[in-house]
Amino acid sequence: MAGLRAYLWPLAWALLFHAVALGLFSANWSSPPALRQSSTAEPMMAELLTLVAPAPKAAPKPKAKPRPAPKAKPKTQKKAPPAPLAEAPAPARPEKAAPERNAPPAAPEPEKPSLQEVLGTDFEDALAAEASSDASDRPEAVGSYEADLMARIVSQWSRPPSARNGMSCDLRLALVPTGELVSVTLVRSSGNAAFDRSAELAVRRAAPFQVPEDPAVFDAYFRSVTVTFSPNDLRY
Amino acid sequence: MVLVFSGRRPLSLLLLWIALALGASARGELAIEITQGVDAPVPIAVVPFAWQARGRPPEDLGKIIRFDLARSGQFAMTAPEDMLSLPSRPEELYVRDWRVQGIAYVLLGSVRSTESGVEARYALFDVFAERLLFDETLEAPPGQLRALAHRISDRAYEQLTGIPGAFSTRLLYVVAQNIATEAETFRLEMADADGANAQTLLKSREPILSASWSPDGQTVVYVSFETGKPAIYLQEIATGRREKLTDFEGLNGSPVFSPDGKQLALVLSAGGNPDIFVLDLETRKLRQLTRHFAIDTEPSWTADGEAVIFTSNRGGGPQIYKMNVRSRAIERLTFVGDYNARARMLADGRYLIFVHRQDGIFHIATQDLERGTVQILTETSLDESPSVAPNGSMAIYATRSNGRGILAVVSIDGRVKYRLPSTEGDVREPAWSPFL
Amino acid sequence: MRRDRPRRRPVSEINVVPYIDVMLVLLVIFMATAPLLMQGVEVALPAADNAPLKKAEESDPLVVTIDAEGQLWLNLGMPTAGEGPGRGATRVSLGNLADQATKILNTRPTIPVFVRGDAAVAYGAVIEVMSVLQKAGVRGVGLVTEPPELGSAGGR
Repeated sequence: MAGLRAYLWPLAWALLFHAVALGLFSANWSSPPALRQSSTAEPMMAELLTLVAPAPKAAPKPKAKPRPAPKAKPKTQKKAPPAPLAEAPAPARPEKAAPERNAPPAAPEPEKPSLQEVLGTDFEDALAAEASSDASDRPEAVGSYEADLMARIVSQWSRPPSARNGMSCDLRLALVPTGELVSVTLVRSSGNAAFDRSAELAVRRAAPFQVPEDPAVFDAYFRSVTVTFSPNDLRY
Repeated sequence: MVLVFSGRRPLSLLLLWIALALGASARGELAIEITQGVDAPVPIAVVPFAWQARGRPPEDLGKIIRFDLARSGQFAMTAPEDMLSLPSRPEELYVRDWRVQGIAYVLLGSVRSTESGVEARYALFDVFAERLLFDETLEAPPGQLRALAHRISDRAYEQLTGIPGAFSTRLLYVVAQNIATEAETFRLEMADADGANAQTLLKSREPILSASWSPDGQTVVYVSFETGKPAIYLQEIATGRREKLTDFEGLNGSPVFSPDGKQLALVLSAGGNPDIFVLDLETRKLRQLTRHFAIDTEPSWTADGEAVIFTSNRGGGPQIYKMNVRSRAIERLTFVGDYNARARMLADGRYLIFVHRQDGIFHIATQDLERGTVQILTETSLDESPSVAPNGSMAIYATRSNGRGILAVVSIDGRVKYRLPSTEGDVREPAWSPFL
Repeated sequence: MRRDRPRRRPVSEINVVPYIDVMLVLLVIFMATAPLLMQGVEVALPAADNAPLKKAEESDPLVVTIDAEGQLWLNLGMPTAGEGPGRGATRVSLGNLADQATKILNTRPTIPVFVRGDAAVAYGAVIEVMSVLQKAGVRGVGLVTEPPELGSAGGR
């Protein structure tokens, strides 16, 4: 008994060491086997990218509000935030981009939380407002995304020759948090089918859009966007 | 106290209203207004039509349609050799084959034989909305494949742009050959809007001038010098039957049908100097419209038939004037530049298209009659005789290239220009037909 | 407790020998396998934790999939039914790929092109595809990886 007890500590250490060594060994072993290098072609620029959304099939899925994406997406979604912190404008940060465009929405919005608190009208709105902590700089972040969305649509909009200044139609866009366009609905027609179709085409070609990472901000502003097309720069 | 209360109530109402408005807008509604666009040509693909009829295809339907739509300048055409697949029925179309190339619309179809001729089935597909815009059939006698193709172009053009296509229309023009030689000949010709299918309506050793269409497209009027002096003739296209309308002393020129087809505006110099007259085609009664010592010429009608616009040098240089046919109230329309002539009014009544001289060069120009702004459409020189397509999108005009008269077409906004393929000889005085 | 200690001391000194023995054996094993393992780690990148794909600036990319057998699939034409690497794609040959890519690049020069190579596919096969794409006019490609936690599940 006494002899065995004396062996106990070294034995424990040896087992532990073996376990660690075996663990390291097997961890490395699980990686794929080595590949043979083969003849090289001309050097070409390649970028390593993690595909967030599966590209091949882009069938429009009927969208329920709470869960934005099926299966794979939540995981990649979690991964998404670090990158924008590094390169893309973070939604919460106040942005200087396109100040003249976000001027109109910025004006009424700062008052909103206080008004809602005072009047206690809409619980959901209050939640949405609270979710993004800093109420004062949120509209500006929204504004930069809004400006980007506008610019993308403008750059894709080819008006048909039958379009006239003063025509106007409304489209409602349904977006998902990846910025993809799920559906476009014609809410109000201009009366000219070609004009309506040109607007719809502009939106579909402009998609996908940049949208805020913050789910609360996205839900509050970008899940559903109403776009009014009313040209004022046409010849007629 | 009363004052304070009455002051407060609107305030609280206002607050409530703002709260409601904000509440509504915050419920996931970002409202954006788009007021500008880029107006780049829309990418479209016309798939070569499948030929399922007897024999070999005499015409490439897809090619004709492709040229038609490309000429309009509204579309960026995809070459067939760049297409990933060549579907001939909507069921065979895979949206992603076209989306990956950024193509917005695909026109496809097939032709098969019927008892009486051929039948084309054609469909237009909206790639981005994944929606079939139309899927139709059209029959034609065997020799009418080109006409069939133009009809399909018209249909697609109207669907996509909202204005009717003018690809099935025709052109009238005069071809002069061997000018100033013994063998000088003049031919009045009629061709499809793309310049194909030219046929001669009249051949003469003497000049032919100022051909123009009746509103129904069945008859033409023109000035012919075949008797040695100018006379105005009416000719039925289908039968070739001719009728001499006027051959007064002096000038007989520029006959133009009124929009209802019952009257003819023309220029006569019977009174000593050219003036505008109106001839009633039923009663054959002549009525003098302008009475001025200056030269009044080149009449045309406004779309409502209420007024005649014409060129006159009554103000010194040639300018465009408008005279109401009933009240004879006269109005000068052009003020920019010292030479404006041969005007035609667009169907919307807002734009005038005419020959405008700038720095000694003659261009085709439009003038916005509301704003008075003049836009020069063409960069060539010696441009003359503009004539507007019935859908108001394009204008054909005569110009010179390598010392030869040719026809060219420019869109009314000046963005698109192309030349019509011309045969030998000098081509001049084009007239675009109404819808046929 | 104090009476036990004197007895333990001589025993613990003897035990070091097998301990060192085992250590040396392990050292030899690691030295032998290390060079092999190093190369594998360097090349087998497909399950890599790198920057996630930027939210696509342009939609509708061209995706070339190279499956474990080295066969090529494109996200074009009639989608293949069923499961497997080619699900939703169509099989193409290398010459076919060159042809299709040229057509696409003619009409849309700015199209994003992604290569989805199987982790088990030979590097040479990927290079071959990339050189074909380059000849077709593609400026740069994105090599698609999957985030590690998906990579183990997706396997392939």
